[in-house]
Amino acid sequence: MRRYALPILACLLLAVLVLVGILGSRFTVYITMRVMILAIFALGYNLLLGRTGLLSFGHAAFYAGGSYGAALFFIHVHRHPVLCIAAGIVLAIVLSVIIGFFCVRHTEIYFAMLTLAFGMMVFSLIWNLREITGGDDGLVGIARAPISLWLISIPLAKPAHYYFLVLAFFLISVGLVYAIRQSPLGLILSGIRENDKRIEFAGISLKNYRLAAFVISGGFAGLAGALGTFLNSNTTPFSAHWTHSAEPVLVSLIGGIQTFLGPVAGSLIYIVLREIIERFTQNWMLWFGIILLIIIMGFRGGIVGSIAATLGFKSRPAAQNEGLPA
Amino acid sequence: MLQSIVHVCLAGLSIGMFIWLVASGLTLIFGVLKVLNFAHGTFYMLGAYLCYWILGRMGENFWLGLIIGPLVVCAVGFVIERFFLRHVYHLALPYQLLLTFAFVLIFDDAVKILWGAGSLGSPSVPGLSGSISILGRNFPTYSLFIIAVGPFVAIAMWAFLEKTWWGKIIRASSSDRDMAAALGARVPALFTAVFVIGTWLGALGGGLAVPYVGLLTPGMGEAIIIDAFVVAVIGGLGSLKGAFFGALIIGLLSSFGTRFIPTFDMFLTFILMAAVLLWRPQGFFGEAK
Amino acid sequence: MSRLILETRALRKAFGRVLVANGLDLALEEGVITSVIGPNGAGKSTLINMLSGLIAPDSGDIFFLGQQITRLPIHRRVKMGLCRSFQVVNVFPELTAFENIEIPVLAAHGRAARLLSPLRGETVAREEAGAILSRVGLSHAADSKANALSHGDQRLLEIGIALGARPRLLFLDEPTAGMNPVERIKILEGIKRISTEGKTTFVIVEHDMDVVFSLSDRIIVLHHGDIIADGTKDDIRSSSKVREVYLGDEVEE
Repeated sequence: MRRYALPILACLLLAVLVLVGILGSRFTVYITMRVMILAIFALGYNLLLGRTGLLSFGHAAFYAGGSYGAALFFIHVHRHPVLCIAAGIVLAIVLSVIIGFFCVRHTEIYFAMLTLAFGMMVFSLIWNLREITGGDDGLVGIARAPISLWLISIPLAKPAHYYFLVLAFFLISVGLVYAIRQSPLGLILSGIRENDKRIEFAGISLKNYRLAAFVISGGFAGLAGALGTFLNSNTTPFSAHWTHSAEPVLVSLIGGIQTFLGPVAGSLIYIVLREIIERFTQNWMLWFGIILLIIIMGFRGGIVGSIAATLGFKSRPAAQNEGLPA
Repeated sequence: MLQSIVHVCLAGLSIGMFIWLVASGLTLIFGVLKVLNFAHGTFYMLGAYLCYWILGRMGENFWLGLIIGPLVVCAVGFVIERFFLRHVYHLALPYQLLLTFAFVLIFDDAVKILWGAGSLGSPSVPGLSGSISILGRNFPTYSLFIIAVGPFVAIAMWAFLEKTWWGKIIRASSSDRDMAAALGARVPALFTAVFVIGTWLGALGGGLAVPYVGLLTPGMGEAIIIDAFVVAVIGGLGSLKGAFFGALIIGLLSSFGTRFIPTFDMFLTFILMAAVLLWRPQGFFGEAK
Repeated sequence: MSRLILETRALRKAFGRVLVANGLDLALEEGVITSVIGPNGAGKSTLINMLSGLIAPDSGDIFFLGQQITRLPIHRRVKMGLCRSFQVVNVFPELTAFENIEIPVLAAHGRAARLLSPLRGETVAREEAGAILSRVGLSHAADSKANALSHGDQRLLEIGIALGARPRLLFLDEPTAGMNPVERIKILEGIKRISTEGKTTFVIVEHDMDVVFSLSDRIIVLHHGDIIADGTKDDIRSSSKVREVYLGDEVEE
């Protein structure tokens, strides 16, 4: 029975998501899209953090790359949403290759600092190149043009319609991340996390594989950013700020960095919790700081990790509760 | 022309010394505890806000604020190290970084709660306000003060670490923690002490920033931490000498950049960092890997 | 059988004022089990570290299978067939014993970069990993996490990981350190067996003279960065220089 837990959970999740799209209120639909977009960001990011063991504080730069890439493509080239999203992903990947090249050859601390610094460089770039990026106003008016497939034109203007595009990308992302985790590359990345000094002696180029994890997670960040642009019809330079980089970290930790769906659960909890907190106070950062503190001091398995442990799920080899070498 | 260059240099020196003051604490903490304290910028900010508050409440006395403010922040630092950080040393690095980051979140908002989210104008310090004419142009007196304080702190730290018994213990603990413990050093207490000293330095930098930066904002901690990181990379993480000279270089580069290539001056800093990373990854004074 | 698999010329390394390798000239033949011995501080580990790529020599050259590898990065040497195991157990702690060996095997097969096909489908690599696991006698522990294994089993796993990369030349750095006599014999026999299969040449750094004398075809003695003796067991046993160096340090067998 337990072997089927994951597929059953997945089907339930899918059913809920589809129902929300069809029956949900405007607000629910909007919130769920935000959750899915953040989940895409976090799922990709967790390949780097939970799997490979690298803490990057600069991934917001790639989210912004996707966001601005899509917007700029929309404004200057073509309005087709999927093409714009693709352009955004490409820009994010290019950025992550360049920045990753400098960062992955360094040890953990330098890596964290460098990603932070380069990420903020991207933020400054966006802020200062007003003519291209709109500066602190961002780019506006990024509308959702209909997608035409042969004779059918699929309108996306209504949020409820755009919802299904986001859902589609979310499902693709979940599938891709799952495949990567189950693949040889996934195992190698675990090896890097477990012993990055030994891995070279196993015939693996540490730099190249770290870069691969960095770029893959950058690509997902870009996808999330592009989807975010079309959700809000605009871009903002703060999407590149390092405090935004902290979101996928926080979210993955809350959900459980060694689990597959942890980032998804974490995204849901984060956004819902934040909505609730923001009804009462502006100071949601304070509360999330406290939550982060509690998790680090005692609940490093995160929500999904803790639930799984409570329900007595035996650790699949190299799956749950590994922890970064704790 | 000479006047321009001299002024740009002086401006660069003051920026550099200012960054040094902030980066010194970060470097000390990293050198000994091997922990990168993301919350260092937050201590700086707390130091600034507290100093400002004391300035307002206790009768315009800047020096009093400079003494009391950092001490209060030290207490915060003590609590953080003793009750939180100490318990995660055995964990993987990301957890330690994230712990300090949690405090960034907490205190950034705490400052907003206590002082509001807007910016506060920085007052001037009697005796150090105004400017002095150098080569025909006015240069702020307070900046000259900063240029003097920087090396003073550097020398004081050098003397402490090299010449005093405490300093020797600290240096021993940073290079070989277990050995130092075997020799009788009470390492956990030592780590707490170093963290507190580093915090004090950061907060002192914040206090000194009050008349210098023009505006106090809740985002000032973030801005300065990036500079401190860049300095640490260029100078060599954990090396105080490196932090000093790295800060000088960054200050001068920043000043020349602002004067001659306005829009892209910040990139000079990042380009330098990227170049150092490529050709001498351990920084100018860091230990080779 | 007498083809040169590794050669060094004038290999030199100093740490500060301590000279740990003083112009070493080495020629290792394929198929010949060689032991490198010497008192502590003789430079044995440094030699292995230089040959495997962990540290760079100050001067001198290293040739592997006739190719210059002096500045080659570690993973490239491994791909060429030059591997090592570690004195201190250096495994992948939270991964299973099977996965520990699967990693170098996948790399050796060139399958490590696959990201969209499942691991389960890598039958060739997995069979090989399973075979190596049973060669080192750890099949019973295939699904146990590496950090849950006994010390002796971890040492076996350590060697298994090194074997996973299909080494033509394998440096074992004190493979029997901390093992009980039973485990020690297991390792010895394993090494002998694999050596006779002809695909891997072993070079062993050891302190235990039993192991050294029972296993090696050739023994090299290092002292303060110099090779002071090089030959068969009998050569070494009868060498006065070796006696001098070891007097009071090791029990001779």
